[in-house]
Amino acid sequence: MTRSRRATILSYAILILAGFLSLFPILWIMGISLKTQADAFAMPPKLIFVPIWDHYAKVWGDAAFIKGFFNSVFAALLGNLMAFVIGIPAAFALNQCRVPARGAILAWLLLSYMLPEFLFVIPMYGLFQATGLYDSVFGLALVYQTFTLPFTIWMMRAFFADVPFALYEAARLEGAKSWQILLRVYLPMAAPGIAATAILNTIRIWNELAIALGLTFDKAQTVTLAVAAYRGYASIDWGALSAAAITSILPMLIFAVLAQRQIVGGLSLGAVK
Amino acid sequence: MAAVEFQNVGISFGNVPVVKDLSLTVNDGEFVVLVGPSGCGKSTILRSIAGLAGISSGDMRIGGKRMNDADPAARDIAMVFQSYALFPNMTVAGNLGFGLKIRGEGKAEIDRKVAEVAAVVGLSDHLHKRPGALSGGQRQRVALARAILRRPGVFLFDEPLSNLDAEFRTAMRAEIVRFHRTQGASMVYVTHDQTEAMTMGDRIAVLAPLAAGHKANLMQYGTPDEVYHRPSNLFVARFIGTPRMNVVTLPVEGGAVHFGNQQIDLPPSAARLTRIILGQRPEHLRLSPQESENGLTGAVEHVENLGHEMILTLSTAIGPMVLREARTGSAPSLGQSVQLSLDPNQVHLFDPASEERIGCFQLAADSRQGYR
Repeated sequence: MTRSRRATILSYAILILAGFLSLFPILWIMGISLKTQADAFAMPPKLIFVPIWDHYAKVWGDAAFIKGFFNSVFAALLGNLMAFVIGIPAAFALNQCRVPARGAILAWLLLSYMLPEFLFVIPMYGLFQATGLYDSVFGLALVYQTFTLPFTIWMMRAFFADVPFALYEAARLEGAKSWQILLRVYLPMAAPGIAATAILNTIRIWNELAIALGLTFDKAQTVTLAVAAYRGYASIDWGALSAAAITSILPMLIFAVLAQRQIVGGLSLGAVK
Repeated sequence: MAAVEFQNVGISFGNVPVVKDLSLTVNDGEFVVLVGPSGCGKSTILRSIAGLAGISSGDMRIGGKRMNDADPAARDIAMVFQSYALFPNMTVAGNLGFGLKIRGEGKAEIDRKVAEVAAVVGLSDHLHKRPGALSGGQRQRVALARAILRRPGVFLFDEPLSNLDAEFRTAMRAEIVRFHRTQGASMVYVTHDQTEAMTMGDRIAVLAPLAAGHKANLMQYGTPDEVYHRPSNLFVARFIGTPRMNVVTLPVEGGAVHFGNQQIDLPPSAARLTRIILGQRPEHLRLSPQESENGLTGAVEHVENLGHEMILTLSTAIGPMVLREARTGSAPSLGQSVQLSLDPNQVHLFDPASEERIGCFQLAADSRQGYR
C-alpha cells in the first residue's frame, strides 16, 4: 500500500471517529427522547424500537419550557444588539483612531473573554438585586456582554482591518465624517463578518447556563435552565429531559447548518489579506 | 498665485524624518510630477497636500492659504489613489454621487451631475455596475470622474497607472495628459516610473530618500529637458534615463582627465580636484572605428537587440560601460573588441565629494577646453 493511500485511510478513520464521538451523545439522547423508559434503559441497548412522541408532547405543552425557550430568543437578540451597538463603533475607533493604550484595551478585552462566566455572577448578584435587574432578560443580556462584547470587538476589528484604508481616506476627502464612513462604507463591506459574529454570539448565548443559573429565578429563566428543570430532586424524567434537550439544540443546529458558509467565511475573512 | 507651495516643509513619522526642508512651488495650471525611488517621500508629500499626512515643520499653502492643519475636505483638492479607492459596495453612480450626497445635495441634482461627468469620461453605460465588474481603465475613469465632480483647484494622482499592464498604461498616460489640457487644472502626479515623469510633466521634482544619507529630498526641480540634459547632481543623472548614465571616477592629471586616450580638459574650478566623476549617457557614447586612436578599448559582454536599436554592455579598463545605438547593420558579437569614444558635447562632470554637477563639458575640435 502506498504512503499517500495509507495517509488517506488514516485521515478518514480519524474523521469518522471524531464524527462518531461528536454525534453519538446527540443520537443517544435523541433515542431516549423517542423511547419509553423501559426501552431507554434496556440492556443490551435497543437499537430498533417503536418511537413515541409522548415526551415531546409533554415538553411542548410545558409553559415553563416554552417561556424559557423564548427568554433565550430574546436574550440572544438583545445580547447581539447591545454587542453590536457598542462593539462596532469601538472596533472602528480602535482600528482607525489613535487610541491611547490600545494594546492594553485589547488585552483586557481578550482577558475578559477568556475568564469563566461564573466569575461574574457573584459580583453582579448584589448589584442586580439592588437595581432590579435580577431575574430579567435585560439583565442577562447585559451580563452576557462580558463575552459577546470582547468577541464582537475582536471579530469586527479583523473585518474592518480588511477594508483598504484608502477607502477611508477617499471618503474623508469627500467630506464624510467618521460615523458616515462607518455606516456607508465599512458596515456594508463587513456584512458577512457581522453575520458570522451574530451567529457565533447567538450560539454562545443560547448555550449559556452558569450566568442564567445565578442571576435568574423564574421569570427570566433560559432554555438551558428549562431543560435542567426536568432533573427533579428525587427522580429524573429522562424522556422529557432528553426531548427538552433535543428541542433546545435544534434551533442552533439548523442555524449553524444554514449559516455554516457565513461562519467559515466570516472567520477566515480577517485571516488572509 | 501658486496652486501649491511648500516652504521648508519637514515631515516626520515619530522620530523618523521622511521629508526634510522641502521648498517647491506648483504654479497655477501646471502639471508637476514627483518622481523618485521607494522611500523618497513622494507619496508622503502628496498625502500632505491632501491632509492625509501631517506636516511637522514649515508651511504648505494651497491657493495662497496656509493649509497645514486644514481638514482634508476643505483643501480644494481631489485625489486619484493608486488603487482608485472605489467603494465596492456602491455602483458607479453611487461612487460618483457619494461626495455630493455627503455634502447634502438633492437627488435630482446628484443624478444630473453624475450623468454629466459620466458622459465626459465615457462611462454613461456603466453607471449601474459595481467596480468589480469594470476593467482597470474603467475604474480609473470612475476615480477621475469622482475627482472632477469635486471641481478642485488641484488634482492629486498617486501612481494611478502602476496597476495597469504596459500597453494600457501608455494609452492612459495620454488620456491623463489630454485631461490636463482640457481641464487646465493644476496637477501633482506621483510616480516611480521615469517614463511617465518625462512624458507627462511640465516640471519634474526628482526626490531622493533621506535614509540613503541625502541631506534633503529634493534633488532637482525642472523641466524634463533640464533634468535629463543638465542633471544638477549625480543622483538625478543616474536616476533619470534608461539605461542609466555611464559614470566613472577618473584621476585629474594636469588639469585634464583621460577617457582611454581621449583627453578632456577641465575648467579651472575642477582642475584643482585630484579626482572627478565623469558621466555620459549611453546614447551619446560612440563606437569608434577599430583603427581610431581616440577613445577607450572595450570588449562586448552583452548585447540587447531591440530591433530598432541595440544596447551593448562593454567591459573596459575603467569599469563597465553601456552604449545605446541605432541598429544599422549587424550587431557586434560577444567578446568582440571595440573602441569607445565620448561625444564631446555631452560630457557631464560631478564633484566626487559633493556629487554636485560641475558642468556639461564641450571638447573643442583642437582639444582646447570649452565649458558650458
